[in-house]
Amino acid sequence: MKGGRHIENDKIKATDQNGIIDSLFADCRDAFFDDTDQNGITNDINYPDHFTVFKFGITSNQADFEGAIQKLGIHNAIMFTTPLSDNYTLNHEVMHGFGLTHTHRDTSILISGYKYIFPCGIKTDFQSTGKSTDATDNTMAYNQRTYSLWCWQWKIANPNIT
Amino acid sequence: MRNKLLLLYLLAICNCVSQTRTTTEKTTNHIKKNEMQYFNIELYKDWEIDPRWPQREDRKFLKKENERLSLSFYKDKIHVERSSILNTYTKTTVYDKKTSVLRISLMEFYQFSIGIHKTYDEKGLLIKEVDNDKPYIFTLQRLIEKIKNEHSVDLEDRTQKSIVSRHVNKELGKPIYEVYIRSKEYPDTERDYFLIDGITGETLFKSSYPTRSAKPKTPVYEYINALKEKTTQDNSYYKSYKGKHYTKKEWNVFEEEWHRKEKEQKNGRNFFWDNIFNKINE
Repeated sequence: MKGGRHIENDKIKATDQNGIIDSLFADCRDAFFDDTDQNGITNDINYPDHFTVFKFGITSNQADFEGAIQKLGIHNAIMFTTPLSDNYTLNHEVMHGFGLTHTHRDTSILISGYKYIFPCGIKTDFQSTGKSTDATDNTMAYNQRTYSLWCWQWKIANPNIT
Repeated sequence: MRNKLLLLYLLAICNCVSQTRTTTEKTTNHIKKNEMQYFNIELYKDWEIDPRWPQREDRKFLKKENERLSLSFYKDKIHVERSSILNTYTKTTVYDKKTSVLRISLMEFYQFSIGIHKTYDEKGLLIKEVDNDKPYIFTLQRLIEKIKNEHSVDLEDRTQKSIVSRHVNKELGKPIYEVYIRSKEYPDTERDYFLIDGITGETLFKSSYPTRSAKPKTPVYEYINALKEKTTQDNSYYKSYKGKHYTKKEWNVFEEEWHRKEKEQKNGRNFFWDNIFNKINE
């Protein structure tokens, strides 16, 4: 049965006038945690520390939106299925969840995670055109093909790596 | 010979049209007989496994040349989705698992339903038809032509990496199409966006967006916000002249009228008679 405040015109309502709707992330996680296994044990008991990724088999109300992390360092992401779904966005968003920032500049105040800044493959507020050939192939970059992670990023994503 | 072939083709089309009409007339009763269709796995015996997807007992992915098929076996139904790697149409049919009778048939373009969504009862009798195209006076076919003519992009060609969606927008109070196509200037990193009126076909709003963004903007909201801002501006105080207060909209009308009169005066028109005629027409 479809319905509820996160459905609009048969799509998942992921954005509104203010951008991404934050409550979608928490509501997905709550719905999953409230569900039970065959023994009646709720998922919050079964999977308390797991990284959750909610993948919808349809687009959101913004048809080209691939997905996002709830917040930097929070282990919860949502993904959509667009006609152009790629092999890079999931890796990128999950790494945000593990605490990695972009490798290009996209905020005016740089937080500690922005260790090095490289050109971005697409236009940003700080770069008037995309510089695809100058941008890196790092998973945290915006570029056509992104697949690598650097050693210093491993240590942020997994503090057990020394 | 060529003319004869054309005539035969036209006759065949006419025949098809006439069948469609007959069916439509019958559907006014909502319940009627139709040619029952059944799920038949034999139809796919020459299809091969599509290795791009994991195969399970209850979920099969098959391929044959450019066509793709997904078969899902649920507790009480069988879901068949047939698509192509070349075009952007998908046909979905749902069958009763016990009897193999067709229960639902629908067609999609990108990810929205088009044409008639048909529902059949357990005996295979048509019980409901929903016309997904009804609100869209500016038809999908015309949209495809418009984008082809104006931007040289074929929305039916999956390889061109476009995105199309449509819905009846409550805030705008009308059906709209949203089209994203690869930017001509930066095809790999930017998309051009077009918001198109689903009734008139007019392009209401266009913009460009990066293919990825940490803070994605939803274009239709940008358009609605711009409309609201314009309405607010038009209806708020703009300036005063000779003791009278004007909104922007009123001022524009006043200014236009003033310029017209000034021009006419320069051209030596006689306002006395113009005003008399205006009053008579009022």
